Order: sequence, then structure tokens, then C-alpha cells
Amino acid sequence: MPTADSSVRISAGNVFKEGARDAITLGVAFIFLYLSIGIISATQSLSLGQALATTLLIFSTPLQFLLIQNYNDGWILLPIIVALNARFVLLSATLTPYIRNTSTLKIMASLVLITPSIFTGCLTRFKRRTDHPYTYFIGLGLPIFGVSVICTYIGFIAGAGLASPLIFAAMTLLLPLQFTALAGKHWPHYAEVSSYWMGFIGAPLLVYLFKDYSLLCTPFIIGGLIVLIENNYKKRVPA
Amino acid sequence: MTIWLLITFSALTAFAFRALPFAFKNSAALTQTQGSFYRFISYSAQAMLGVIIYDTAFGKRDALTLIEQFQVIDALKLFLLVGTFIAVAKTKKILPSFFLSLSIYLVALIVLDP
Repeated sequence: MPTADSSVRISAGNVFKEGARDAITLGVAFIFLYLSIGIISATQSLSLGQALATTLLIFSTPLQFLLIQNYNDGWILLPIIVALNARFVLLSATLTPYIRNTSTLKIMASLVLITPSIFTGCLTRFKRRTDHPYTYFIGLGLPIFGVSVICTYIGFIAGAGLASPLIFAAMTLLLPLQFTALAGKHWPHYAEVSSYWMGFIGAPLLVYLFKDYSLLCTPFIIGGLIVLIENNYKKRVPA
Repeated sequence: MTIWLLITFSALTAFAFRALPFAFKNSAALTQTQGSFYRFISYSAQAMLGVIIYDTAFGKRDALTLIEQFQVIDALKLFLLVGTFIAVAKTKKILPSFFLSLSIYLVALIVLDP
């Protein structure tokens, strides 16, 4: 883990502000996504409380879209819900070494903020600096979470008035653009960048092998492969 | 099954999976960030993002279906994703390339009307 650069160590307040500033970049996509979640919730006859509960308690866009569009399918959704949520283990495990010194209570209270976007934002920052990592995590996560809750509300109230095919079509590239931009920030950490693009390229190929469990299995195959390559390289070229 | 039961189940499983690794926060596997296990987890998380992005942008199509149904808008998506990555890697600034790519895509959506 990179060590904090003591020569330019900044206060917790400034780190929080740094996180909040970075949240502006990440928050843009969330505005559209959660407006859509609010809109679709209204068109699918959910109550405002139910729409807000999905954001407040789950805060996972793919799962929220699945729930609000297919809740009539009932118990059939349970294994899919487990599969979609299982991915959070990877994100939490990667963040654990950076924020493990924070009190358990604080961590438990902020677990809902662990999403792919906030995870990527944190990891990008922690590769450069590790001072006040939990403060940064909160500074980045809270505004995004707040904006998402507000947008769910606005989307729900505005309802079908905001719905347009153009918005839904634009959404298909919002998250991909955001994550790819964040992957660009990892450059020149070749292993991370390679893992990202191999996941992208491997998805349409390994789906033949893993079918519906591709999202769960493909990442581990690629992660294992990259570690093997890296370990072999290190053996051949000692540091 | 009511929507509230589904929301509760989703919230509990999401919480459990998010919390699980913190139960092992002091184990060597998660504290040694240069160790093979941690790198495996970290790279797998990145690969998972790549899979999510493909699924979101190209609608979970397998390779053959993608090739069969490949349209100009798909080529544009690929171009914008790669272009955004290169631009951010070079400039280290996210917002300009993000908004430029998004604008190009919106214009293309209006013009091509796929």
C-alpha cells in the first residue's frame, strides 16, 4: 500500500473537500441514473417510499433497475439478487486495507456507499495518497449518495414528464464512459488497466462458458490470470 | 412476494456482502497489498468493472450476436470508450473528455436515430 506523503500532508477537512470535489465528476452520471430510477419507479406503480427505499437501503443501480422493473416476478429474483450483490465482496475486500483502522461502527454505517463508482474514485486516490482514507471515502460518497436520493425523489415526482427515449438511450453509455474515464486515471498501473480491458473484452466471450454467472466468474478468471502473469514476470525480472 | 420483501432481502444481502471482508480486516491476506491474494481480489474487481461496462454499453450480447447485429452506433460507442480512456490517461482530467464523448454520443443519437 502506498504510504502517505508526510511532506504534503493535509488536514481531514481538506481531504473531505477533496473527496467532495471529486464527487462532482462522478455525480454527473448519478444524476441521470437516479432520475431514471425515480421515473421508472413511478411508471411501474411503486410508491414514493418504495422508490426511495431502494436508493437509501440498496444503492446499487443494476439491482434497483432489476427490482423496479421486474418485482412482479417475485421469488425468482432472489438468486439474481444474491449474484448481483456478491460483487460487493470484491469492492469491499479491495478497500479494506485502506480503511480498516476506522471504527467498526463508522464502517458499518457507511457500507451503503461502497459502489463501483465510489470504489473506483477511492482507489484512484489511494494509489496516489493514503492520508485520511476514510474521510476521503465519506467526502466522495456522501454527496453522491445525497444527490442520488434527491434525484430519485425528483424523478419520481416528475414521473413520465421527464421520460424520453433519448435519455434512456444516453444512459447506456453514461456509466461506461464514467468507468472508462476512471480506468484511464489508473494509467500507468498496467495490471489494473489490463484487468479492466480484459474484463471488457472477455465479457462477450466468456459468457458462452459461464452463461448467467458470467459477471461472477469472468472477473476471477481474469484476476487470476493477471496475477499469474505478474508473478512470472517478477520471477524473471527481479526488482 | 411483495416489493417490500424484495427490497428488504436486497438490502440485507447487499449489506452482508459489503460487510463480509471487514470481518477479516486484520488477516494477512487483506493487509499485504503486494501479496498474491490481495492483487487477485483487486484485479478481479477491475475486471468486474470491465464486464459491467460491456454489459451496460452493449446489452449483454455475446460475441457472435454482437458481430451479427453490429451497427454504426456500436462502433461509435467503442470509439468513444477507447478515446475517453486514452484522453484521460494522457491528460489525467476526467470531465472534459467525459462531456465531449457524451456530447458526441447524444448528437449521434439524434442524427442516427437508431
